[in-house]
Amino acid sequence: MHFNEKDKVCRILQTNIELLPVLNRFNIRTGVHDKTIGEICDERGININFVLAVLNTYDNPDFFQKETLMNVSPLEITNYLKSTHRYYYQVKLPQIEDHLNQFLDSCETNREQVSLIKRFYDKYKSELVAHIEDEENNFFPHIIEFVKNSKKNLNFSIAVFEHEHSNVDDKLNDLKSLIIKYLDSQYDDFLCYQFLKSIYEFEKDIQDHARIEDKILIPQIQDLEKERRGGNEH
Amino acid sequence: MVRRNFNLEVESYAFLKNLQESEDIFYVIVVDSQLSAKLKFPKSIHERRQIIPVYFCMKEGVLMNGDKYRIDFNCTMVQIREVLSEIISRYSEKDGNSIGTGELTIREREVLKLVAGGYTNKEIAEDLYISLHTVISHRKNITEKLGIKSISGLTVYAIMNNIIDKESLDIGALI
Repeated sequence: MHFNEKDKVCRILQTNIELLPVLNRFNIRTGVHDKTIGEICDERGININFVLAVLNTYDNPDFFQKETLMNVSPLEITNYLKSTHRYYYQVKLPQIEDHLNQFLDSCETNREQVSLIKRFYDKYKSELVAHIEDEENNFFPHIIEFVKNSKKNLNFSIAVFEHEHSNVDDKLNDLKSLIIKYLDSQYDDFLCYQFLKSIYEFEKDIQDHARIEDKILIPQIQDLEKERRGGNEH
Repeated sequence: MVRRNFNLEVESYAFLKNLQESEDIFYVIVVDSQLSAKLKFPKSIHERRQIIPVYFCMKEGVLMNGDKYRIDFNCTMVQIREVLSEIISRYSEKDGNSIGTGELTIREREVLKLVAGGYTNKEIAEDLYISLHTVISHRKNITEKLGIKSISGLTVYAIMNNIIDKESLDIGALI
């Protein structure tokens, strides 16, 4: 499914409701009658190319519109990524934790295993939160400062930020394996499914988020660094 | 080659398939002989670092669980240690009669136990008398079979499956 500016917002959401939180990050919500995404972006001064690239990529991860995204300002990209963080903090992580606790509480047998899994999740969560905080407090502010201040000395290079997503991804995957394959307990089936579903949704979102950071934002800053270095040499 | 007499405890005997040669391999730990027996090693033993084929020739009778035997080893110390570590890791399984049940081979379980215990790859290689490359290869296989990659994830799996004892770990450091 490839959306364009003539597509109605309602049609986009009816095609794939998972895109609702994504639209929310641009402050686009339900209830806009038959307006197209193009009209909404025009009315509100939102970059339509950016919105479409994000929607299309989220809808179909194989369809990564790198060129379009590279042409979006790093400041807009950073804003979008910060919105995503807010979604994780305010919505997704509390939801996952809630579902996990409900599920684990329903485990009647093998409570040892249950406490190990809870412990493992807590460790994952604290690493994830530390990673997000590092981005919010260091990574993004440096980028914003660097982009806005064209005369800024190149004292910092984006390469300095060892921006590693794989550790955090691994643990999420491990959590799934531990529950799906190895947890041997009597529990409420629906609560197990509910938890795993929220993990899968989160995983999809955070992979999309990480890809935008790694494949778009960082290369944009590297290009800008090169450009400014080249300018300084003349 | 060195001649050694070993007195070790038998709890059960193991029956393994050598995947490289589809030969059957017996590993035995013995103590205080009532029967003496000779171990035979095939000529190519020095080529196989990880699994040592051992052909156990009994003077009489068959090996019995719980019985005590003495074995004269005619091999190097390194080879003996390798045999012992294979057997010892097997004893940490719940069902002593079945080898390599579940997803992992005996060697992989050994490696997993050390990973979960917080050992580095280099330490694992030294402990098991295998190369660093082999350790890494085992870890890749373990991750692929279990679907678990992180050390803390592997530690959780190891505790859940009685490969490692929770009490023996500094669990706060690992999980």
